[in-house]
Amino acid sequence: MRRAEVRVWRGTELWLLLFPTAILLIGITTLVLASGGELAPRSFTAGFAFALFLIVAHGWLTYRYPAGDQILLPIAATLCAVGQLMITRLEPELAVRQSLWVGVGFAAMIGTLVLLPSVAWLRRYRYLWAGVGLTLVLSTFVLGVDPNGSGARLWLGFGGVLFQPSEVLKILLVIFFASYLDDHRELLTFAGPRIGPLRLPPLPYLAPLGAMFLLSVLVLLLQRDLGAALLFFSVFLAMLYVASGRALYVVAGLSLFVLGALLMYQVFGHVKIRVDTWLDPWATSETTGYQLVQALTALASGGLIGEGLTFGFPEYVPAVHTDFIIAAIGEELGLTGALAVVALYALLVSRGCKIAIESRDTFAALLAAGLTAVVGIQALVILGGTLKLMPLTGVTLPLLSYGGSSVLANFIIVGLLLAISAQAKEFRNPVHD
Amino acid sequence: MTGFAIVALALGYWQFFRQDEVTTRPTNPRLAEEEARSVRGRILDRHGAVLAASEPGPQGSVRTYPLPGAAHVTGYHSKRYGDINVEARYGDYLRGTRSADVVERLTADLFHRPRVGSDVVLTVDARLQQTAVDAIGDQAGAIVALDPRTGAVLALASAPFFNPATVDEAWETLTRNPGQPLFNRATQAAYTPGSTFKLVTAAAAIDLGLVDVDAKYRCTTQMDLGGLKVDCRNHPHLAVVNYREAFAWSCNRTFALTGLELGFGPLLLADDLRRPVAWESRGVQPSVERFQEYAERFGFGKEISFELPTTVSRLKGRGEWYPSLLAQTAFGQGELEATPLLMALDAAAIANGGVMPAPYLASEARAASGAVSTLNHGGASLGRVVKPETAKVLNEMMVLGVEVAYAQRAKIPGIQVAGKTGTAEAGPAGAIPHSWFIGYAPADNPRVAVAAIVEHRGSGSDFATPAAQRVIQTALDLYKPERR
Repeated sequence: MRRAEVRVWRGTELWLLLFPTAILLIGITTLVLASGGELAPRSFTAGFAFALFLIVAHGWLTYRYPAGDQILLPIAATLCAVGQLMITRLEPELAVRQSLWVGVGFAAMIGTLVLLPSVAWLRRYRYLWAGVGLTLVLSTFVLGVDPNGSGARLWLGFGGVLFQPSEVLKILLVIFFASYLDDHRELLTFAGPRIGPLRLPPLPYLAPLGAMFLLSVLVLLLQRDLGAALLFFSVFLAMLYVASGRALYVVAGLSLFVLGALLMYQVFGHVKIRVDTWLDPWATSETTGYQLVQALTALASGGLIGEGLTFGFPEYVPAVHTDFIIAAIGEELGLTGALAVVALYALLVSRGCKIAIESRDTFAALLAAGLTAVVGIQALVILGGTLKLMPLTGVTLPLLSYGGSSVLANFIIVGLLLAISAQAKEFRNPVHD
Repeated sequence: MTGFAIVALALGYWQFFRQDEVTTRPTNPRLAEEEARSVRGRILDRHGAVLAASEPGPQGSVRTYPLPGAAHVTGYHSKRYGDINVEARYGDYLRGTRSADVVERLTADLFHRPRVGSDVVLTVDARLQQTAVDAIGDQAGAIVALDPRTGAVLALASAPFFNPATVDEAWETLTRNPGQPLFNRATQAAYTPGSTFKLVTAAAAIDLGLVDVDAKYRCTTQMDLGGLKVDCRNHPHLAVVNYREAFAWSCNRTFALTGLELGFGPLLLADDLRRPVAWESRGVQPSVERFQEYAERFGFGKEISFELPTTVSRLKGRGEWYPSLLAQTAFGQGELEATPLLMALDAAAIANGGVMPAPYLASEARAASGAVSTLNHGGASLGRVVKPETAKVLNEMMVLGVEVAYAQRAKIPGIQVAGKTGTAEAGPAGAIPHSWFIGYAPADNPRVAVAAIVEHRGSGSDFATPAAQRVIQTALDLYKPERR
């Protein structure tokens, strides 16, 4: 009798998945037609492959995690489809690689769901995760390569495949934080020496956490990966707040951030340049401000409804297919398209928060919150940078931008969130075989 | 969530509210792309002669200017230095962002077809323009010729000029040249008008009824105005002149007196032959404001709306009036500054029976499809400056100047020309004065009004007048007014 109550068919997900499929196939058709034969119809292969990935993922979810969230995958797939479409438009050569990476991403997502014995399993090996992550990032100091000459050696290369360890580090660190914070949650909330009305955090318990955190941020700063450092910092604060519910951590963290930022502005030339460029990109529109000025110009050229696919000139924006992909979307698909993308991220974050809130297990809740924060904050950091809301720090726009490691990491995040949501539902509505 | 809301607002800010401002900056490479893709319209003279056209070249399209003497009309179209003059003023039509054929433009935009710019047709006559340029020769100066009935500019020459086609390469030389070839003297140079301004003084005095043009003035002594000595050196052969003759022979003493009378009321000098004019009985209270009011009607201190950038001419600087300043202003010196364009309009106003025409340069834009949009109808007015009777008297006085006095070199056989010369002292003491002429012809049915200035060349009679005569002669040959 109970079994009948469980939804076995993931109907909502199935019909929602029609959207990303349609966007990609119609988009590629447009591109092929507009290119006047230059773009080979084999670009469709990527579109059909994408549809196949979706069917397989959907099938597996229906079979194994019928109770999992049904909205999450369609959102992620839509972002990914828009990304795939724009990359095909911008860099047809790279589009094939990207679709391979998307395939790998889907595989990793399903793999996560298949291999993960349970969400709780992750918390057991927290030091292992943190260690692996840091080792990978540290190894870039020795083995790192800088394929696009940005001045930062952030990639590891093996056999022609480039891999950015900081993308994996962010997942591993979130797992570590979630696990650690879950163990020491009550201490963090209530314990600690008092000074007047302020209750200080229990420093000894915070030490391992703080050390791990500082180490990661430091490593990234040394690597000049400012974007990743900023992302980690924000995610760390967000998780600390979620775990403890104490605003003190956020206030302290933000003050620390302001101090650190001021110090870095003084000490590091490249930070100063970033900030100055942010304040007035037009002053250096030919040199350091070029990228930002071109991005804003591309966005402005798009107007409300955009120039139309292939009719804009987004290629004037450096790195437009990776970090600055929103500029291309804004130019060719207009404010309408760009707002749709932002709305998708907002939906993704709200879905992630819902999963965190509904999960009964505090570790899973913290993990879901942390992973959601990673995606949400990363999107905000690069969108804010592109829109001159904050200094520019190079991170990819999750799921949209070109970049294998990024796609892979974000699909793993989606996989983990799906697993957590399914587990939460199962707790509430257990399936008895 | 707040973060995403802010991002959404920022998108709206950049993509909507600051769209035009950001996309029109020179940092936008799309402008060059659009430029390379579209076909820029031509600039044509009133008979269709090409003044500017774009032709395909090895490195994109090349803008050619068959008549470089029209440089200060067409302006230049430079990738590096932007556009000026007609290229700038009607840039929207030439680029094709605006068109008489709205349907064509919209479909071109919708289907991303290259834009085709409209041709802009000017009122300028290429042949007359060339005559004006030749008349100035290698001097520095300007000539403006217009149709007094409509305000249509027939020629607008400023020398030295430049070749708009090679602005990019020659920029350094052009900007360093002390002759300032990029400076449009015709509309932007503020010169002391000298005796040509006596037209305005006389217009005010006659229109107000403050002088009797037939009254006799004895002119033998010099007038001393607080150190400023004004004499009758301009007509040593005439000891007694009436007001008409004083105008034609450009008598400074008489006009200084007129100025003072305009400002302060009747003045009778010891050697005066006139009966005092009973001004009060005519209901006129002379005051310097009346003089200023007339100067303003003639365009001094007023922005003249025109398609090229213009400098505002002025009656005086910021200071207060004092007697000798008023006297000097009345005969064209003082702190006066006037553009050649304005002086041409002043002559045109008298030619046009006392109504100043509104000047214009472009008549229509023709889209590639043949659709035409009118840019200026012509015949618009900048207001009445004097009564028709006054204009008639001034017309006679100007004819007298050409027939018997200083403006004789403006004569054209068989046609009555009206004119006023000017020899304007300007620059450091002892500098050679500017040579001026303003006038129009035929005096009874004016078809062309001209202002000419040759910088630091000497008397108005000897340099500007013959130059203007050539332009008037050519204009009348081209438009054959006798047949009307």
